[in-house]
Amino acid sequence: MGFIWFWLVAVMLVAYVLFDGFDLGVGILHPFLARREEERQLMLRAIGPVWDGNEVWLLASGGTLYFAFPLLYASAFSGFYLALMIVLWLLIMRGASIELRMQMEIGVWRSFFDGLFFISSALLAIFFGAALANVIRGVPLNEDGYFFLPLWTNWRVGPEPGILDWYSVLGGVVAFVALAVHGALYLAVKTEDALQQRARVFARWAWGVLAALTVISLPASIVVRGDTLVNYKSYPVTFVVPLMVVLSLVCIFRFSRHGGDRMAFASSCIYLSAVLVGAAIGLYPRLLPSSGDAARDITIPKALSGPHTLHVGLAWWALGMLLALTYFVIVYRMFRGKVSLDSGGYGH
Amino acid sequence: MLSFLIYGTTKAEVQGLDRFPRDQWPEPLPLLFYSYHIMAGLGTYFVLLMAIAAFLLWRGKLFQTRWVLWPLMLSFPLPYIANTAGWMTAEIGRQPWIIYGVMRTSEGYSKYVSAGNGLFTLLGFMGMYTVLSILFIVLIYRIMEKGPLPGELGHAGKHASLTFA
Repeated sequence: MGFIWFWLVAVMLVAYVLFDGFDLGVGILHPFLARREEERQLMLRAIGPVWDGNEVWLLASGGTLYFAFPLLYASAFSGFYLALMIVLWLLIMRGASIELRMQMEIGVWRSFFDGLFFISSALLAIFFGAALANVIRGVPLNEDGYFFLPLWTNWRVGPEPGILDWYSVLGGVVAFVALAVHGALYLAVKTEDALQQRARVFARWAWGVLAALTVISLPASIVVRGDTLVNYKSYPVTFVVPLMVVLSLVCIFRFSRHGGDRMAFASSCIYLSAVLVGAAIGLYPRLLPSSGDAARDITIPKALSGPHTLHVGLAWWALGMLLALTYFVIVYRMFRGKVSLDSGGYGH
Repeated sequence: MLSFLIYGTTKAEVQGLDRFPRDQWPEPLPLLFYSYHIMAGLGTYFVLLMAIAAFLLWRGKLFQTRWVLWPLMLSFPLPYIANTAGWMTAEIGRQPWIIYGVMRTSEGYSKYVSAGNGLFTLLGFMGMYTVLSILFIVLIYRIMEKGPLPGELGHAGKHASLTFA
């Protein structure tokens, strides 16, 4: 059961990164790829009908965490308190900036919300990357499984890390670039003409940065957490995952060069999934490692709920997932194709 | 009557507050009392107002009946007040329990999150919600000012344009 729920949570987190990743990517690119008001609106229309539903995956994984791994939920959410609250505020501001942008014709209204949209999307990408890096690096857990991290201490990964240190900042930058590329590839699918061209050009340029960062992050992870590769060595079949990371990176480059926008976007989805699954494999069966004594790791058995809860939950999870996936298929089919300025509003 | 509403039978006994130990009373008590009664009172008012309005709508006379139209329009902020009062009732009334009968609020808080952090985020949320509420009121007011677009109201549209002119 622990194994099942670990991977269910992982799958939902991956779904969140794939879906909201391009929303954040579009937000990051919004001030740079759009030169005119019409282009800004086109970029917003590309994510308009779907951004709200995409965010739902974050709540789903967080809620499932609460239900299946209550100790992890309690420990992590109070330990990362400030960062979590900031993420919450950024999510609110990102949503408000998308929806309120068109409401008034006062001078700086639109520019203000465009700026807010960019800043909140960029910071969200960085924070999410830093969060993943924190989980990999480990936190100073004490006896009863709790901890509290200040936002930063000395930027070093030692016995007393802060939420931000060189490794989690690296994680944040990787996420920032990866999601920007993901968003650009999504735009290449959804837009036409000049905007699509600029998105493609950006994706190709940023690909180099992303590849370099990916290469740097693996040894960095090994330095920070020496036992990352233990699971890989025990089950050599899992080496297919880092292989997928490399392959998908290559595919992104090749497809976007030849105008295969959909395949390039699909490759980007595979890249992000492979990176996250790879991190999960390195983590298993820990949920939140300890930066000090390894006996204090929050592992699956330590954090798991009782068997009755988990069995009942599995049934309801399946039902909920069925509904959610049906909804997603319907919405994405309804709004498929290129965006245009004809229809009113964001189409939702 | 009250026992029927709570327990589903007229035979059950509804215990008054004086039957519970003093350390299980919610605090502050007057705030709880008034918020509950504001919520229930406003709710009753809504039911009455809407019943009258529905009756008049059915008779086709709603849009000429000014003494109903004025309260309908002026009651715009009241649902927000009733809503908030209801939540206050629920959250103050549950004290001192965070899980009724099992865990008190004083045992259930995050021990490692300092009070300063809590205050900082509380002020942050209050500030954000204040700004968003002001934006909301401003935008809603602009929409109400514009009124309904012509032709949008169906068969009642003719009457609406008379009174909104």
